[in-house]
Amino acid sequence: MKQLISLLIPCCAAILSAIASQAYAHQPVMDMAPRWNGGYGAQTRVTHANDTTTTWFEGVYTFKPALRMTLKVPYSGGKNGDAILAMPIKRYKNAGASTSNWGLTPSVRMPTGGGSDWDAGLSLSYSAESKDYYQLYDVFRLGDTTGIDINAGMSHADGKGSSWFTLWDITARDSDSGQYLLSGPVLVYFKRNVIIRGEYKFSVHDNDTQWDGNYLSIGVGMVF
Amino acid sequence: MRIKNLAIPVFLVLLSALISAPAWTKNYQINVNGMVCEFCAFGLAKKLRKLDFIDITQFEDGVKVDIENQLVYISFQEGQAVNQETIFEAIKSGGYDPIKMTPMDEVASPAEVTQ
Repeated sequence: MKQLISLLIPCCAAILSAIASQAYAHQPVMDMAPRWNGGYGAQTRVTHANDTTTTWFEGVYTFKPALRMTLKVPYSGGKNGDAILAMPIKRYKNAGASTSNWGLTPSVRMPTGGGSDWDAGLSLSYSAESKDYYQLYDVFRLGDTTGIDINAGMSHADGKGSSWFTLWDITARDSDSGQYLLSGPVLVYFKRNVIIRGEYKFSVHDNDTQWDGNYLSIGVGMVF
Repeated sequence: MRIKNLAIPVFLVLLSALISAPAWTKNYQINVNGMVCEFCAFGLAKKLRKLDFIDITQFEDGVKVDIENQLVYISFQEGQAVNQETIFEAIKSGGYDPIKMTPMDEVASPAEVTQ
């Protein structure tokens, strides 16, 4: 495993430094889990935005709590889109009744959708949670786009292996095509190793020629 | 006569305590820093259950997680030596920081934990 990691990190770094910086950089498949050595998970999300419905097939593998690998493959209009491979690197701090982490996530978007361009990206994130609250802040830069994602809110555990998260999301984008700001509720439910997430973001500000309207996402995932 | 009447129930109480004590003392409470999310703690419990000295007939397959108080309860099989280092390693590989491990009979009663 150490050999694999030692191979992957320089490969990823080489790709990142060699290709143009226009890519997805942020958003882990699941922020909270799996955070254990050898943990893995899969998630399917359906998103609807700009009159387009996209199904995302996503997977995550955790080498160790500080290092994960994620893969996201979009499917829309009867064909695959460009897959995104990312490597979240996390530094955890476990206090008594809270846990937090800083994350640095290099990523590569591969031309699996029929194109020929490879894109790279990078994000910086911070998340913290206790048994009562959860918050995630993510900033990324890709090509001409700067993005910020914020999730913050309450968590409600039942003490029997399941929890609800009621969060509020703020999504901001700034690029050559303009700016837009989305905001709305996020509901997350998990029981044991199953997670269900739904979010609906309203368009608060839209001055972007390539964006139109609201955003809906519903997903279900499992970790092992 | 009064002493005899008192002695029988006292004897029975002591006897029941002696019978239940060995099973209870094989259980331990572990304080774990940062364990506040059951979804995340799923992996920690999974790591602990893989240890071959865990008694899966106790708690929930040998392990009980209490995120409210950041505690993990584990049960050892009868006659197994307590290996704190192995347990702490399992917790660390689950992504959390173990602080201390204490025999259950020193910190809680069975009723408090199994409720």
